[in-house]
Order: sequence, then structure tokens, then C-alpha cells
Amino acid sequence: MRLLSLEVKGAACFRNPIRLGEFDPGINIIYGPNECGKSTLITCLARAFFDKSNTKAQEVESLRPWGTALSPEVSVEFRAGSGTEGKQYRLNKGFLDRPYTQLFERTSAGYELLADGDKAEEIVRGMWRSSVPARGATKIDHWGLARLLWFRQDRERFDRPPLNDETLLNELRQTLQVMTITKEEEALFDLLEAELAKIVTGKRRDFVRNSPIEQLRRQLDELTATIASVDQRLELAEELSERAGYLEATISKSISDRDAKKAELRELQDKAAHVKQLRNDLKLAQSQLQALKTRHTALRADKDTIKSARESIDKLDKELESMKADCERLESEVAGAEKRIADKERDQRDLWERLREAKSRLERCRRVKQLRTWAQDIEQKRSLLDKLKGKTKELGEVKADLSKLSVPSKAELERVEELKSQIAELEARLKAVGLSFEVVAHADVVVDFGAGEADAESGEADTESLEAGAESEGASGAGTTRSCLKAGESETFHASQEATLRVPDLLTVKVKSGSGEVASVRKELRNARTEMSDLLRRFSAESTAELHQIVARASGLRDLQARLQKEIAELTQTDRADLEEDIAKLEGQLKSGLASENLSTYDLASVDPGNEDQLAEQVAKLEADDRSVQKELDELRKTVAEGRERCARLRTQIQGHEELREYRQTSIGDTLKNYGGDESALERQFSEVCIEVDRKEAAIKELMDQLPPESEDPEKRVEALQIELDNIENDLESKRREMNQIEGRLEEMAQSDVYLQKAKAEERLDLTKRQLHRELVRARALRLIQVLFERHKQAMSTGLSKPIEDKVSKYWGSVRDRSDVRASLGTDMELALLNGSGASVEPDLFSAGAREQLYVIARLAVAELLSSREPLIVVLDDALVFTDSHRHDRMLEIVKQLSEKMQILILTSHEDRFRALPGRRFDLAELRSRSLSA
Amino acid sequence: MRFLHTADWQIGMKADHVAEVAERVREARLEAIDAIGRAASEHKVDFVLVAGDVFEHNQVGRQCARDVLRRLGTFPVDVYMIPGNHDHAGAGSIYSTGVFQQVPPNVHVLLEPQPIAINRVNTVLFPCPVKQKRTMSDPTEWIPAEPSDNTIRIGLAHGSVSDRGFGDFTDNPISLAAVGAKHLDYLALGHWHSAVQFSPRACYSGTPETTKHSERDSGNVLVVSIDRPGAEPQITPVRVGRLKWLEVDYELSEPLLDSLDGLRSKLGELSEDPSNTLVRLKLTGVSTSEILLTIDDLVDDLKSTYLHVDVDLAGLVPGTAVDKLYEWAQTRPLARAVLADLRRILCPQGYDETAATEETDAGSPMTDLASVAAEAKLPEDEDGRITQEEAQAALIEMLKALEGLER
Repeated sequence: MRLLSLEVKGAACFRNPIRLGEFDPGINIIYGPNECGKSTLITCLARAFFDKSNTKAQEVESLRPWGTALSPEVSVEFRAGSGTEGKQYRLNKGFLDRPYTQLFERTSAGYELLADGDKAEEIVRGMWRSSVPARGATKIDHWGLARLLWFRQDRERFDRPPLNDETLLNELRQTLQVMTITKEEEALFDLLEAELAKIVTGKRRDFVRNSPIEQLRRQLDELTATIASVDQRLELAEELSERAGYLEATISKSISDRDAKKAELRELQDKAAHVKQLRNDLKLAQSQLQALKTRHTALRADKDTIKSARESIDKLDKELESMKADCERLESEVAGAEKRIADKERDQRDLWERLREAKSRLERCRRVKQLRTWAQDIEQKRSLLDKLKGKTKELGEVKADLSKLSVPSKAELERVEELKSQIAELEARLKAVGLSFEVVAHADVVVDFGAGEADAESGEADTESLEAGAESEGASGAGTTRSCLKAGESETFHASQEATLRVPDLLTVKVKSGSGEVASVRKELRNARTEMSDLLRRFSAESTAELHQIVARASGLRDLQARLQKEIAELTQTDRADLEEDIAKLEGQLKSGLASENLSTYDLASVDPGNEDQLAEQVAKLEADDRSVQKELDELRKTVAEGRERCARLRTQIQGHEELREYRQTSIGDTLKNYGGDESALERQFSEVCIEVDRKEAAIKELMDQLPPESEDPEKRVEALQIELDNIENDLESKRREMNQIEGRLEEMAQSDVYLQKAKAEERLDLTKRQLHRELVRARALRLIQVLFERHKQAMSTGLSKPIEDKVSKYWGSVRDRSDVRASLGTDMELALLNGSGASVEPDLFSAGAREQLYVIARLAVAELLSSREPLIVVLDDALVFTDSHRHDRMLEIVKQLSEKMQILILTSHEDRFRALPGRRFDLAELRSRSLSA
Repeated sequence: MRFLHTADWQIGMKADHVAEVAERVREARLEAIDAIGRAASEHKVDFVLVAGDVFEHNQVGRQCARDVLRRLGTFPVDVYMIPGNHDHAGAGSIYSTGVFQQVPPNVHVLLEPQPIAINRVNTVLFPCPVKQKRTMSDPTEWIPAEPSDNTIRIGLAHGSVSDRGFGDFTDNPISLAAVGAKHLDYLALGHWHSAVQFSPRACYSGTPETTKHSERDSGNVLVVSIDRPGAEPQITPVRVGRLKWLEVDYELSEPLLDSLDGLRSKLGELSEDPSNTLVRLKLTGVSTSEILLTIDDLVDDLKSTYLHVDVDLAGLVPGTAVDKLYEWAQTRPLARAVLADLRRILCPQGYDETAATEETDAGSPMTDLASVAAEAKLPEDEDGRITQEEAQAALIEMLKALEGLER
């Protein structure tokens, strides 16, 4: 379809008729400022095509120009149908007060009425695949193909284009010749799916719990378990049978074994009896041999006794002889030694006499020496004592001098000095007198004058206080007056005691009167002089200088006293009394010593005591001689004692040997008594017994050879065999018992016919398996149909969506300069974008500009597909306002390209943005003004 | 002298291959004993030889064993039997149980390899009882090779003939050379269920009651006549089996209904006693979903007539010519595409790729069946392949659904 012209009157802002035409078959740009009626034109076009003329809906009523009774009227000229079938039509439509619909078809003779009223409207609806609501005005949903192709200036432009519109999809199917699924097919597959749902769960593709398959599976499990248990029993039967077979074989073997062993036992028992007899004989022979051996031993013992006694006697005789010789030699040795002892004892006595004499001389020499030492000591101590007595006397004199002298104390001395200076000061002060003065200003000066008013008693203190006040407060002190004297002026200042005159910045003059003070100074002076004279009188001094001389003399005496005391201390470490006592004691000792030596004090010096060292040496020599004589004596005495002891011992031994010899002689006699005292009888008996023993031993050996060896002892073998036989019998018994048990169990099993149970269970199992197989085949068949159905359904929808996806991808790629992004339509034909890695990109997250571009592209793509059969009208009302200039250019490229396949109406208030496009342009503002002027 | 040779009664046999009628199959085997007794009487034989495997297993029930003995007791002649590999005389043998302590006087269970003289007919019997389930030695070995002393010498053995040319059997091997070497007039063999006659002197009688479909020649006993020692035996097979195990191959053709009628009449011709006939039906030819659905009904119908019916549809090739389902799908691209895929599964070899492209022209590429199989996989489906059987079932389900839709 292509629009040729559009005429509107009595609608909204178009009270007067306005006509647009002839439209370009490609691009038409209708421009004008805002509110000049661009969108109203499109609304009127839609109302004309899609609404019933007689509708009284509010939407149509709102088209009536405000404040008028005009009714909207629209006239559209258009071509419809493709190729040679295309025809030109005119649709005239009036609404509200004068509703009408007329459809004209252009023939060679001009427009001829084709239909009017409902009929005409129906034809037009057929062209647009549009529909009408039961009542009211059409909504965009009713607009058929225009729903998608007309991109209007409303909110919907930012919603995804409704590609799932059934009308649109049907149109696309027809245009693209894609097959559609029929209702019957849907119904058939629904039916099959319902069958499947009875067997298989939708989600996990598992079998429905109570479906025949599940029931059969359960039965199968039960049967398998039954068979397993029957099989076990059969296996058990088999095992038991085998065991029984084995037992049977072993039992018969055991029986023959037992019989053989019994025969062997009998044979062995005979053998055992013979051996027993042999043993008895042997025992007897052995006991006889034993008796012979005892006899033999006794005889040999007697022989040995006699022999050894004789040998012993011989030995004793030899020993006695040598011992007696030894004894005699020892006795002569002892006698010699005793004689030498007597000689030595005499020598010793002489030696002792000489030693005593030497010792007494040495002692006298030592005593004299001691006495001389004591005499010297006494002399020394006496001289020390005299010296001490002299010093003590001198000290006593110094002490007396000191006590006689009166010395002033340090405080008293200081006081004297103090008083002396005080008196001098006071005397100076007495010389001061009272004063007053006048000040004459020679220039303009300011004079501060402070007068002290204190009484005379405390004048000095007051002066100080005024001074302090003047310094701290300047001229404004309490007793201060300030006078300003002009040149030539004068003033007199008065004060009683003292005054301060201050010329600021120049000088301060302080004046004090002493008259008030005189009395007090004199009193003080008097006091000071009295105290001074008192002090001097006390120390019998005329002046302070004399007082100082007294102090110096006292200090000299004290020094002398200290020196003497120190000297005395140095002379006697101890007390003086101790010293005198020592002297007395020493004199006592000396006196008694002299008496005992029979000497006078005088003799002590002259007597010769002899050389002490020579005397000591003599004594030591004599003592050494004595020790060597004593040692010789000791040795001789020891030799004598030992010799005597050895002699005694030898004599005892000799006696013991003689006794032993006697005993041996007796025992020989005793032994021979048994043989009548005849030694040859003993020898005879012994050789007889020896022959007898040899004979017996030969006999025993013979018997032993007849006996079987220990390991072949028939008795033992009989025993072992008996045990073996018992074991065999026991084993047989237990095997028979087991055999009976097994037979019992096998019989029991056979009674219950296990094999038949197994056969029946396996038959049931087979039946169940076959049933299950049939059910499974059916389930798989139904599932197979389902999968195939879904696959083909999917493939069909792909046939529809893929061309759209291709076109959108292509245009989007060219606008966005990206080739890796692909458009994708889901099963619900919802538009989405996939990036290079196949991840979905939500268009809702795009900017308004990008989203609008995408949605315009989608609409253009669908329009292009649909236009392959017949060109369609696409409306872009105020589109791409958010698009940047670069992408705007790209979009215009696409529009330009597509305008060869379809008619495009662009409504805009920015005509300049579309200059690049060819086609016709309509200035709506100008058209309106022209219609008004008309 | 005349005797009846039989073997392999397999009393108490399990029949899981025809599990629905297993009880009846077992019963028939017991009834066969009576038939053998009747045959013995009819053919006036001197004695009956049973060459092993009277029982299926040594653990068959004692009640069952008593039943067998009771039936044998009714025989007009002596019965000589040996144990076979199924009921061997080893440990746990059924023959050593209490039931066999008291057998009817005409019944002789020969458990030892010892000659048995049947003087009345100048015959010596050499029984070769099986002592264990499986041996590698020839059970006839013990038979003395002494020259004929003018008695008829008959061997009775159970095992596989091991001579070259008769198969490669190693269990209980029996050499036919024994017949000549031991001067046997006849060797009565048991173990093989189909009757085999190696020479007039060595035969398997086969089982008297067929055990399964594939047995070539079973359901008989042999009546053997030997006039004198060394004379060639006269052998006559006598039918005693009651059950008929029928194997039928049938090719379906158009028109279908006529073809099915043809099948019915063919079955009728083949079996005069349907209630004792077990049918294995193998169908070939062209199938359609309608045929598949009809065959289900047909089988149900046959089952009411015949003792057992088993149908093999694997030989059917799918055709589209007169298929209601394909016809319906002509104008329905989705259903058509699904059917095309099913067809590809049903005849993977004969599938025409170009035709497929046409059929799936709904704008979709060829379906990847391997991925379909993977996606469609359900539990209990080990290999995850889509089988022909499943594809057939899918067709049937679709057709049933379509019929449901039409109603």
C-alpha cells in the first residue's frame, strides 16, 4: 500500500481543510514546529483506516475542534495490491454528526464508488489485517500491521516492538511461506503427550509411581529375589549332594581302612607276648649281674685298702727321719743367740750413763740465758716509766694555767664587735639636724611633692614607705600634691619630718629632718656603751684589742695541752699500772732463778754457761747409738723365740706321724681278718668273681639282641593302633551322622519341590519381562514422538524468526559499527541481543537513544520482510530525537535504502536533520496558514 | 524281539519361553508317559528302554517322581531306565531318594554299569548310567568287547555322539565306534531332543514331547525289532507327543484384509488341534501403521484359538501407500515431519535421502536422530538407541491418537 494524498478538515487544529499530496512513493517528510498538528494528521489517518465512522467514542469526539460544532472528515487516496493487481483507491470518511464511509476505486473513467458503509470498512480492514472492538474506538492493538509499522510519538516507542502479534506472525508466515501448525496436529500431539504423562514424569523423565511400568518393575524385583532364594536352595542341595557323595566315598574307605588295621592289631598282639617273656628273663639276669658286681666291688675295695695303708707307712717313716734331724739343728742355733744377747745388754747400760750427764749440762746453759734476757727487759721498762712521769707533770701545769685564765666566748666576742659598730653609727647619726627648702622653677615644670607626716619615733621607716609609694605611683601618692608652676611662679612646700620633691622626667630630691630622732639615738647609744663596758669588765680587759689578746693566749695553751696528751699516749701503749706490774713480776722471776742457780745478780753477767749447740749435738749422737743397740737386741730376742717355737712344732708333728703309722698297721690286720688273715685267699676270691661277671654280661647281651628295638615296640604299636582304630570309629560315626542329616535335608527339600518353584518363578519372570518390555517400548515410543514433535516445532518457529534476526543483526551492526552482536528472538518472539560470546544483553539497559534505534530497526526489518509481497506504509513520528548525529546518519542510510521497498512517512520538528534524505517535504505550518487564508 | 526306545522326558521342565502356558506344557509331558505306555501295548513290545533324562533335574519334587512311577507301573511290560545328565546318579540323585526305594516291579532303574540279562528274549542289556552332570569319558567304554555268545546285545547310553561330522560336542561324549567294536546289535541313545538315526544300530529317539519351536524331529518314540543276534534292527517311529510347535513365515500383501484371511486359513491348514498348538508367527512384507494396529487385534484373536501365539514383526518394512496416518499428515507439515523421521528409523538402509528433504521441507534441516535418541532416553534404556520396535509402537500410538481424535 502506498499513500497518494491525505485531506483532513474539521479535526482538532485543522478546522479548515488541509491537503497533503502528492506523496512520494518513497520518503515523505512532514515538518513543522511543535503543536502544529503533525501527530493529529497520523491520528486522523488511523481513524479513517481503522475506526467505524459511526463510533461515538470519546477518542473521536476529542477530535472535534474546540468550541465548534464541526465534525471531522478525512479523505485518503492510496494504492493497494502488488504489481499488476495494484489499484488506486479513495477512502472518504466522516465522523460524529455526519458519519459516512465511501470507498472509491479509480478506473479509466475516474473514481467509481466501490463500496460504502460497513462493506467499505471491511474491505479496508482486510487490507490492513485490522479489527474493530465490539464498541468504542480502536486501540493500537486493533490496527493490524500498523500496530508494528507505525512508530508513534508515544510511550510505546521505548517498549519492545510486539513481534509476537499473531496477525503479524501470520502475515510473515504467508509472506515467508513458512508452514503453520494446524489445530488438529496440536490436538494429536497433546493427546499423545497426555498418554506419556500417565507413564513418565514431566520433569525428571522418570516413571510415574503407579504406572504399569513401575508395577512391573516391582514385580520383577520381587521375582528376581524369589529366584535368587530358590537358586540358593538349589545350590545348597547341590552342595549337600556333593558333600553326601564325598561322605559316602570316605565312609567306605574308612571301613576298609578299619578292617585292615584290626588284622594288623591281632598280629602285633602275638608279637608283644613273646617280647614280654624275653624281658622277664633279661630282668632276672640283670639282677644277678648286679649282685656279682657288688661283690666284685667289695673285694677290690679291701685290696685297695691294704695297698694304700702300706704305701702310707713307707712315706711316714721317711718323713719322721728328716724331722728329727731338723729339730736338733734348731736347738743349737738358739743357744748361740742367747749368749750374744747378754753381751749387748751390758754395752747398753754404759751408753745410758753418758747420755744423762750430757743432758744436765745442756739444761743449765739454757737457764742462764733465760735469766739474762729477763734482766735486760727490766732495765728497758724502767727507763720508759721515768719518761712518762715527766710528761704527765708538764700536762698538769698547762691544765692549771688554762683553768686560771677567763676567756670570752665566741658569741660574746661577736657582740662586742657589733656593739662597737653600733656605737660608731649612733654617734654619726647624732650629728644630723632638721631642714626645709624652697623650689624655684626656671621653666615650666611640674613638681610632685610628697611630705612624710610620721612622728619622729618611726621616721626612718616612714621615709622608706614614701619612697616606695612615689616610685610606684608617680605623683599621685596619698600625700602627694601636683603643682604646675609657670615661669616666674613659685611655691613653697612644707614637711615636718621628711619630703620628696619630684620633677617628672628630670629629678627627684629627697629631704629628711633628724631632729625628731636625736633622743632615741642617744638612748640607744647609751645602752650600747653600757653593754660594751660590762662585757670588757667581765674579762678584765681595757679594750676590745686586749680582749682579742686573751683569746689568742687561751688558744696557744690549748694547743700545748693537746700535744702533751698525744705524746703520753704514744709512750705507753698500756696502762702505767700494768707496766709497773710487769717489772715487779720479772724481778720476782729473776730473783728466784738466780737463787736456784746459786748465783747473784752480779755473777749473772760473768758466768760461762758453755756452747749450747755443741751440747745439743753431743746429746743427739748418744741417743742414736742407744737406738741402734736396742734394735740389735730386739732382733736377737726374736730369733731365739722363733727357734724355740719351731722346735716345739716339729716335736708335735713327729708324735702325730708315729700315731698314724700305728693306725695303718692296725687297719691292715683288721682287713685281713675276713680272710683268716690270709692275703692270698683274698686274691683268689677276687679272680673268681671277675670270671663270673664276664659270663653274666655275655648272657644278657644275647637276650638283648633278641629284643626288637625301642621304636618297634609291639606294645606301643598296639596302643597307637588301638587309638587309630578308635579315631576311625569316631570319624565314621560322625560322618554317618552327617550323612543322615544331609539325606534328611535333601529329602525335605525334594518334598517342597524347589525346582518346580524355580521353574514357575522364572516363567513368571519371563512373562513380566516381556510385559515390561512392551510397556517400555510404548513409553519410549511416546517419548520419541514428543521429542520429534518439539524438535520440528522449534525448527518451524526458527523459520520465522531467523530472517528477522538476520536483518536486525545486519542493521544494528551497521548503526553501531559492531558485527559481533546478534539479534535473537526467543520462542515468544521477544527481541534480545547476544554478544560475541553468546551472552544475552538486555535492551532495557540501553540508553534511550540506543533503545529507540534498536526498536526502529526491528520495525523496519519486519516491514522490509513484509514489503517483499506488497510495499507497506511505515510511519516514523518524531523518531530518533535522542540519536547522535553519527548514528543518525547511519539510520538515514538505512531509511534511504529501504525507501525503495516501502513508503516512509517521517514527521519531525527538525527538518534540518533529514536533509540528507531524498523524497518530498511538507511544511505543515505553511500549509495551515494557506488553508486559513483560503 | 521288539522293544520301545525313548529318552529325554524332561519331567518338570521349565518353560519360560512360553511362560503363559508353562503349566500346560509340563502337564503334556506327564501325559506323554501314558501315551508311551499305550504305544508299548499297541506295538506289543517286550520291554521299554529309557535312555536318560527322565527328570529335568534331580531336585524335581517327590510328588512328581511318584506320579511318574505310578504311570510307569501301569505299563504292560518291563521298563529299563538309566539316569542322564539332568538326573545323573551322582550325589543327591533323585534315584537315591526314598521315592525310588519302592518302585513298581516292572520298573528297573539301572544305576550301575553292569550287564542285565533279559533271558526271556535272549537279550543282554548294557546300561551306561551318567554318574555326574558332565564327564569327558565315554560312558560306553566299560561294555565288554567279547564276541557274541548268541544273545542280542543292546547298549543304553546318554550323551553326545562325538564322532567327526556330527557336531562338536564334548559333554558325555559317545563314540559310535563302540557299536561295531563291542558287537552291539543296537545302541539306544538319549540327550538330543530331535530324533537322529546314525545307522540302523545307533539312534537318538528324540524327546517324546517337543520342548521348543526349533526342534526338527521330536514328539516320537522308536519301536525297534531285532529278530536274532546280528540281524539288522527294524526301526519304526511312533508319534506320542500331543503339543504341536508351529513356526509360520507369512508375507503380508495388499489388500490387507484378504491377506490376513489368507494367514488365518494357512494356520488352520497347518494345525488340526489348535488348542494344543503353539504358534510362532514371523511376518514379512510391507507394513503400515494400520496393519500394525490390525495385527495386534489379529494376535488377540489367534490367542483365543491357539494354545500360544508369538508374533515377530521385525521383518515388516514400512510403506506409505495406503497409510491413513501418512495421508492425514499430507497437509500437516509438523506431523509429516515426525512421520518422516519415524520412517527413517524403520528402514535405515532403504531410506531415500532426497525424499526425506521433501518431507521435512517445513523449513527445518534433517533431524539428527542420534541427538533425538539421546534426548528421548528414558530410564531402563541401556543403549539409548531407538529400535525398530519402538518406531513401530510410535506409529501405532499416533494412529490410535488419530482415531481417538476422529471420534
